[in-house]
Amino acid sequence: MRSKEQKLIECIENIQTNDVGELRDIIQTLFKRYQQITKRMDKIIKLSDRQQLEIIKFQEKAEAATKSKSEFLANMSHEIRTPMNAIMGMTHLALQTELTEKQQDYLKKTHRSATSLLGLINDILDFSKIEAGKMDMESVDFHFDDVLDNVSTLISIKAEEIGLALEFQTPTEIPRFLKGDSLRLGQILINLSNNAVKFTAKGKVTIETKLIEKTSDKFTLQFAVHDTGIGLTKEQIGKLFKSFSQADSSTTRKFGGTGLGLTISKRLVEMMDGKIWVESEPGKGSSFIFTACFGHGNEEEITARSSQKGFDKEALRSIQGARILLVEDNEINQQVAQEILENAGFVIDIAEDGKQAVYAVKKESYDLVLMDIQMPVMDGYESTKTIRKNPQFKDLPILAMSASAMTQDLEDAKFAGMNDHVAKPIDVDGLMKTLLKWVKHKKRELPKDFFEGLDKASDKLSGIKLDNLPGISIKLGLSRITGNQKLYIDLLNKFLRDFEDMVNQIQTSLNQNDLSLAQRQAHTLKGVAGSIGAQGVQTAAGAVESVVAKKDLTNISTLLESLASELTPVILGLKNAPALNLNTRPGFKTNLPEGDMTVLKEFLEKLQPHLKKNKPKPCKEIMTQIGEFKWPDDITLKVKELNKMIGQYKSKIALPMLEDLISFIEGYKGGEND
Amino acid sequence: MTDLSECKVLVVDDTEANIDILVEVLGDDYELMVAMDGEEALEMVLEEPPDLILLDIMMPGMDGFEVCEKLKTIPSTAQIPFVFLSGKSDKKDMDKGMQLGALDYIIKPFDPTDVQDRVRKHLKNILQK
Repeated sequence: MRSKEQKLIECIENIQTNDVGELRDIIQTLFKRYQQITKRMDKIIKLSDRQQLEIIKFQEKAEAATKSKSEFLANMSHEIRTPMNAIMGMTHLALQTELTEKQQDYLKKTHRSATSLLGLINDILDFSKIEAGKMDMESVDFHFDDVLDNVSTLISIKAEEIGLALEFQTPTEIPRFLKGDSLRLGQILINLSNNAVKFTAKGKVTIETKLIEKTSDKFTLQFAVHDTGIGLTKEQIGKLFKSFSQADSSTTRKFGGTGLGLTISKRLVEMMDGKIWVESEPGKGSSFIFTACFGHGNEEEITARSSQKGFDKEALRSIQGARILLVEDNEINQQVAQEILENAGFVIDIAEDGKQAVYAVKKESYDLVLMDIQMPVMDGYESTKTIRKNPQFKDLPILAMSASAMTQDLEDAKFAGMNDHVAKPIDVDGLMKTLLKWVKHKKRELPKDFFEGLDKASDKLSGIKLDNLPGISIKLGLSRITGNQKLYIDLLNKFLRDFEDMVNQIQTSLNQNDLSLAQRQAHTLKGVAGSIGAQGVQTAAGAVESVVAKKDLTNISTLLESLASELTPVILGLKNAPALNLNTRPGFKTNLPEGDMTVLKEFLEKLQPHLKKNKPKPCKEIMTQIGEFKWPDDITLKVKELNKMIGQYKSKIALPMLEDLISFIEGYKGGEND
Repeated sequence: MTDLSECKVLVVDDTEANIDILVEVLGDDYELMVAMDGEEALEMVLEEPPDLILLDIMMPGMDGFEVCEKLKTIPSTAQIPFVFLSGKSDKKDMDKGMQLGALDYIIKPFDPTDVQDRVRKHLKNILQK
């Protein structure tokens, strides 16, 4: 071919030389070639058309599959979260009842496991959302400190538990008012910090922020989470950001997790126009670093919003007594929500589906409606739309209450005319915060059965009406702590433990001429008596406090006598109230026999061989026996620590503690140990 | 030894809650001992060989399979009967477990009464030998 071309060129150059025949020959050959090629090209084009069609079809199929996958996920998300809600809600409620130590331990572990399961589920759902292209980034004004606060709250508990320091390095030059997706930023930081804490045995975790670039409309920030942990090799770093893989397969069994956290973080960072990388050396710790871009936040708006954030029990009073319509078809979820809300002092009516809700709001005037989304007969969207059609209800706050976490659903809820969204499983603090935002603040009468209900609850538990406590107004006491019954019983127990002998103690301080101690003692008694509703004691202690403060002791013996006459019946009443269930609370056992040191030593020596052989059953039994006596505070503290380690089957740690305790007792002289 | 209640059972598991449950369902019937990881389990077995070992597989450090292989290499422990108790439910893992000579392979989450029954059955067989 090439040679013929060359010949052609030569021929053309020598065209005068008359070898026309040869030229024609060449042209014919070339033409034939051309035809062949055209034919072939046609074939190829046809083929590729067909292939393209196939590709389009395939694409359509893939898109449909992705769509049905994400719909499936939306449904699954709901299906998974509904029972999770029941598990977490019920455990939460059960933990508020009177429980034996054992029951409390089991339930706490159940709750912890459910929480971590929910975390895993959320990871997997997030990841799938990203895969399905359904992850949307918000662009909202926020205060950077709020994000860091949240990270700090969540991480510092874990860090503290294992003795790690958590440090924030946030120079003042970092802009605080930002615009972007604060939740996702928090999610990335929490994820990286959680990893850092998980893989660091000792030392510290530092979260550092730097300002990289500042333009008229954008800030670029760089975040780094440094740890002093096990570090990573180059190969491990290479694998880090791949889905479903961890630095090394033994990681899963050692540290748990889905291995999705970093993949999710990477994708989220990319959606914030940033990138993420790791700097590390095995044994020396790692730094996970990422950049992200944010808009300039509106300072005024953020400041206004953050002033109404955070919820305290005081604020709750301004909405307590509000009448709330709960629209929910699932009976268990009804019960969970109803009890949480009633315990918090709201009046609750229930509608079982959207249609009932439409009737209910016409019949009764509500301060707020909490509306489930997926319900039979009429769903939450329909119901809201129907309610909103009546101009009378245009300002009625309607909150979506849904297990579904898909952004789509939240948008649909807004579109249907709902004001806000409360997540299921119900997070009590979150729910209260949202209620504070939407229920009109005004003084309302507290529900009649609010206190009665609490009394009834304690009846059920203990078979005695708490109301019978002499010298104590339970209603008053409960109202001072917004009806938190568990806390109240704790307070009563502590009161009994700490103040039984207080009149004598004040007298002793006076005898020793330690007026400031005496004043403090009277002051403390006054305060605690007030918070449990023991008004007589409160007043009498206040009188003692004020004369001691004035150093005017002329009437002190009369005042102390009158204090004693108020305090004695209160103490006796508490002692005789099985309602306080004192025996289930080891820290508060007050009517236990005093333990003898030689008996304790015998117990501990009996414990030693079992502990050496890691036999939990007899160990736990002996610890229970020890708990049936009252020991001096310093001993109780050591016994508790020992008990904790035995409970966690950490015999290697418990054994030296036990030996230490035995020798401590041998040198014990009673009272102070020096 | 003819009495079941004198049987020594060693539970090896790194999860506190699992041990809690096993101590609760087996602790009254047998002399129960506990190890939280493979190394601790080996130490305990060498010191006082149990009649039966309930062995978790996924543990930090030495896993259940490794513990088992190690036991086989030591003459005094090679014959101790063991049962795997694991969340690994792949047939591959179960086959491996049984090939290593396990009496049984119980999958987690387990039914406590089922564990009670199986442990009793195995210990009875062991006593008869």
